Amino acid sequence: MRIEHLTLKVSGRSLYPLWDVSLRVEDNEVVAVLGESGGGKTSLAWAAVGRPLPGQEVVAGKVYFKGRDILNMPPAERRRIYFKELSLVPQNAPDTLHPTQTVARTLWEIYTAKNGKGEAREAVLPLLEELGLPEEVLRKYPHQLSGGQKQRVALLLALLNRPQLVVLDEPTSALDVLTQKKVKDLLGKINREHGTGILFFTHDVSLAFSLARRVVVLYGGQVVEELPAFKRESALHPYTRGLLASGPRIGDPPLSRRGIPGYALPLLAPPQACSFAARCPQARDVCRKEAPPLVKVGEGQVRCFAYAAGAQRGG
Amino acid sequence: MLLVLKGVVKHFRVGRERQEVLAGVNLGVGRGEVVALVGASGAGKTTLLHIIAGLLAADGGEAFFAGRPLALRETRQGREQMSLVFQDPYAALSPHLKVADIVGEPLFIRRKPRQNVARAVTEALHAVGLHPAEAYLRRYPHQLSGGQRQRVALARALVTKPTLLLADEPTSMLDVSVGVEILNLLRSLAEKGMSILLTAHDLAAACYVADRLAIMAEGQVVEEGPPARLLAAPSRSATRELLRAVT
Repeated sequence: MRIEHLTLKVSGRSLYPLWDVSLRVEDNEVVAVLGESGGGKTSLAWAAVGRPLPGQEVVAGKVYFKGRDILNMPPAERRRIYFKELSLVPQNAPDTLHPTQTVARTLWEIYTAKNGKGEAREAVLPLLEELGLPEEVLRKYPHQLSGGQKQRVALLLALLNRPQLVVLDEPTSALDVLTQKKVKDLLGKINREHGTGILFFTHDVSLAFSLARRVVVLYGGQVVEELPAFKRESALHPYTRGLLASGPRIGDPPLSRRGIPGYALPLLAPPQACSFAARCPQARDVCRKEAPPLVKVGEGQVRCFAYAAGAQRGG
Repeated sequence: MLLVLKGVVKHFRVGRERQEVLAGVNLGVGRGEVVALVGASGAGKTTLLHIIAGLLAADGGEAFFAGRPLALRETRQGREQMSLVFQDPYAALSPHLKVADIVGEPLFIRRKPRQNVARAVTEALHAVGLHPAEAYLRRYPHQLSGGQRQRVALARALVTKPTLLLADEPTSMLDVSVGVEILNLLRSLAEKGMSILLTAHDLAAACYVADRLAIMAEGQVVEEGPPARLLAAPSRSATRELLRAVT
């Protein structure tokens, strides 16, 4: 998947959920988009599968899935690739299961719609086991399942037809830590064993850096940094560093961590300053007057004036 | 001990089945102490908090608060010195009320004079780091960020000057860069003498803020102790499992 210079605007308002976002996911790759609320994660997740959120319009940019322009694809064609080549697991996935159908029925519908008549059961059973779900889940209705089980059933739906790429919006945020760990292990396993590419959106710093190979940091609708996951400790952007510094880890003494002061503001116009300047401990005059470019630094990219001088212009 | 729970039991009916959610919980919270209830979903953490707050009736067990018996019924009786903060700051504040009225409501209910309420509200907003308070008094919840909302919810809890603060997953709905400041705030309230009982499924957050962890599994407190000791030598599988999930 390639997202190129994507800009989204809220229809009828001067409000930009995303501004000039570029991102690529290679075959079999796991990419995390890390950011906090209001950063544009959900907007990007939906636009990435060719369906911008209602009320948002594409002002500029393209999204290519396997070389095809998915934003301008006829809806019928797009529907053909959903669940078969490309799956989205939305943030509220547990609530999207059909309430008056058993899980088995929903799975069967998704399976036969893509494969014609066939042995859905044979496709489902191994996945159930990998997801750690008991077989009796199939006979149940969504309201009889726990939140964690529903999340895993939604994941099962997405993976049922072995798509090449799965897009997940906050795949673990509704789950408790034990289930989070299971889902994380499972995604890693699916990527390793089936070669499924994974693009996931999260606010969980440790999930992003432990599951993905590359991490893209989104702030105020813009990519502010992109770095290989193993470079976690040498992140450059003050926002990324602030995020890394704020989550408590086991063994931290009380009151030793600091959050990032202030909060993110929505992008109301084409950026004319650094979107992070108001919260940045290192902000200089230039940060409030000009928008910093995204520049290549080492193996990553960063959008910050502290690294702009002498660096190569990225994109 | 400010709060003592002995053998608290709670069942829920699910269809024809009877589910035991709390199977005899024993727990104490000392004055000025922060205790974190940690456990997976369904361990009974929120149910226990709601029983202590008098929002739910227990089916058995007894409790003492500040040395006096505490009725484990659905009642406000005996809860004057307690406040509860809910998990979701987006749902816990009435969208129709301004911050001044949200924070002042517990005092209006207690029929405190309007002037005293205004002063107490300003103090409470200061205590949670929303200053100058005047900048927030006339705002509605939708005009606040998630972190600010949780601070308003905390201010509402603090306005009655409780001795025990009950907090249900106070940071799980917040961004990490914002949540950690709420944890810092809870810690500094405890250093000023407030007792806090909170629930958390995030072991790292719980260790960061609490003096003592109480690990819950299958409706019981299966292990408790100071974070450092508990993590160095966890004796129960529930604790080890939680530890494995975050390390």
